[in-house]
Amino acid sequence: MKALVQRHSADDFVILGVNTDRDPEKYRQEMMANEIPWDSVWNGSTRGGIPEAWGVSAYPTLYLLDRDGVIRYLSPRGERLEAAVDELVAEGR
Amino acid sequence: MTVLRLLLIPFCLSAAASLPAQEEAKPAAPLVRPAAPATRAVGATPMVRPAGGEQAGGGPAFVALREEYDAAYTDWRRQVTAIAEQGGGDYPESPDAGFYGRFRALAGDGEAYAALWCLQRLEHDPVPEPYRADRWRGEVFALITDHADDPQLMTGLVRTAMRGTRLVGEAQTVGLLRYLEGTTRNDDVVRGAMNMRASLLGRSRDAGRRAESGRVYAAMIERWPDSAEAKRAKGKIFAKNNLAVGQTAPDFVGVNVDGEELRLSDHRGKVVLIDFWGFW
Repeated sequence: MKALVQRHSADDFVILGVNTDRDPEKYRQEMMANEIPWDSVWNGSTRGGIPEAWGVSAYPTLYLLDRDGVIRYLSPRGERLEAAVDELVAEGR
Repeated sequence: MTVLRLLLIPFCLSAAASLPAQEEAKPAAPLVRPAAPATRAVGATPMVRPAGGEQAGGGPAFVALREEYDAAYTDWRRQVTAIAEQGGGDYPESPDAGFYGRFRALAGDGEAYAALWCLQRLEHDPVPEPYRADRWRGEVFALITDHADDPQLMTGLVRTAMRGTRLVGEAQTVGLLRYLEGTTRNDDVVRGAMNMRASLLGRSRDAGRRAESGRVYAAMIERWPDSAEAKRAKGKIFAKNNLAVGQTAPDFVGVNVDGEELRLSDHRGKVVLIDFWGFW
């Protein structure tokens, strides 16, 4: 996922996280240690908030949206994710 | 008595099946214990469940045996971890098989918690494989009949439903859950059983049964609107109605760990990957 962010312009592709960790200090440390290049809504728990509203019960859960905000892929992984992002980025050019 | 109970089950199940269909949606992740650890697997790490994660309860003889088992289990887990850290190899057998007969004997003396312990590890039962389904059905039916108002025991029993489904099939498991719902006077037990029933139905291959799952969830939301199960069910219904491929993602707004506002619609025009995640 880091590579995806690096490969695409910030005008074409963005990862918007919804983080469910509990300890904000640990989260900050891990973000730095792992050089995570995306920002996340801080939910502070797997309960409540956006995960609950969206019925998320497994992690990670991914939604890949095209430039119009339409959901195009549900939890694509690995090479499928890379190909899907490339495809959607190319669509709007 | 066991024979009588076994004979009663078909009636119970057909009665349950003839009741009007209840309620809709998909489930929260069902609460199931991992399958029993593989014994003597070479190379693959045995599946290890957390120690002490089971319900407390039961009489003194059961508690004493449980403590003995927990100690043996913790010890076994330590060995497995050590072997796995050294790159794997020949794993020792889990203590489950060795303890099974002793718990079974306690169950025979009428200790319901020992019966539940055995149901969670039915693969160690000496009864031949084809009869395990009968054993499961009979034991579950007996426990519900005699202990439907013990929330701790029934919660543990409901958690074995996924395992039961593999043994006796979804229809009979659903029937037994309905039997529990109709027998217990404990509201929490009813809710837990309905939640599991909705979850099982939601995984069904049959579209009609999946629709019934939605109706069960809807009934739960109506009856216990503030419960954790109802909130999860609402999320599942929301996802089903709004978060399918081809639908425009509903907007959301939240704040990051530094209190800055993040809004999905701010990224319109870009490809967006929404990632529900955590380091944990």
